[in-house]
Amino acid sequence: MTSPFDTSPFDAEDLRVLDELRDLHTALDPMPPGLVECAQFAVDLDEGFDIARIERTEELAVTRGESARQITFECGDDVALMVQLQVHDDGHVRIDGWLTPPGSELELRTATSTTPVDTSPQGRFVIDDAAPGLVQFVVRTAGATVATPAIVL
Amino acid sequence: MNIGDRTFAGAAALFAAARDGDRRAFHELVAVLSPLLWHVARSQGLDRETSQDVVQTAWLSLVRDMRQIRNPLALAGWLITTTKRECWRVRDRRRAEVLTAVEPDGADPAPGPEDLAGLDDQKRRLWAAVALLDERCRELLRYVAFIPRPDYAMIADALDMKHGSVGPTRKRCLDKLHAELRGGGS
Repeated sequence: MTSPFDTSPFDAEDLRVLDELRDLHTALDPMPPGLVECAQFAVDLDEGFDIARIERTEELAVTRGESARQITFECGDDVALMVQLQVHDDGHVRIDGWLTPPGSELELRTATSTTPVDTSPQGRFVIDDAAPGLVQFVVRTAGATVATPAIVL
Repeated sequence: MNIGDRTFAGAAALFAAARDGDRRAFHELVAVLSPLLWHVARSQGLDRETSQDVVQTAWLSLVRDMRQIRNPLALAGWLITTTKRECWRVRDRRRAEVLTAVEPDGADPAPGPEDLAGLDDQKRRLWAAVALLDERCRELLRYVAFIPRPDYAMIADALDMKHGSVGPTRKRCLDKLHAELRGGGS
């Protein structure tokens, strides 16, 4: 006995049109090539975290031809992380950040390592020379673990 | 029986493995279903950059809430709903900010003539036929097109059961599209 779901609900003509439709949407609006890799990196976490969403991304005024942007992550009203990313000539990135609540622990996840980041009593921190690539921030407050989406440095 | 097993061997099986801690299965799942989530986000009118954020957030939500999805066949529906909810969140926030912001709402317009100019005749014909469908059918067929083929059961679960009818909506939309393709151009 098979349920109605076990067999294909589509005939050959349906399948052909659906294939064409997929090709059409892919041609008109292709998924960015790096998105899958980015999401795969981001989900390599143990369960039991909450998500700090990207609330704002701004391009900052550049100095000496170096590009800079600022990204704000938030998780509810409790946890916020603001980072300014400045790309050096050699491609490495300086990260100036501010984390609230102060006293939280911060980790920087890259493809190859997870590194604790020192924060000041006010929640400020600097990562001077991050290698370009995918990174993700993990914040541990007294009550919770919060992870950001991955960003590309 | 065999057909049933085969049906189950797609994204649903990957999800079941991922839930049991198989990270490679999870990566594969992300590769297989991200195009669907991308088009869900884009169909809600978000720009490309925000759509990428939303897709990632949806995947993170899945890691967080994995245990709540008991039936692997419910995965596509759960992801579609979660992605849409993230899109609405972004839109609500932007609407709240619009009073002070110089930037317009991040909505991305439908493809214009310059986008369509790059398509071959067959695709242009299909686009013209799709444009004649109602919004709900357009959205539904766009999603169906990006659910991997072995997962028919997931398609049914994601798209039809919520609307209280198994099959008819999807069939009606496809039939309309066939009709437009047959008769619309001539």
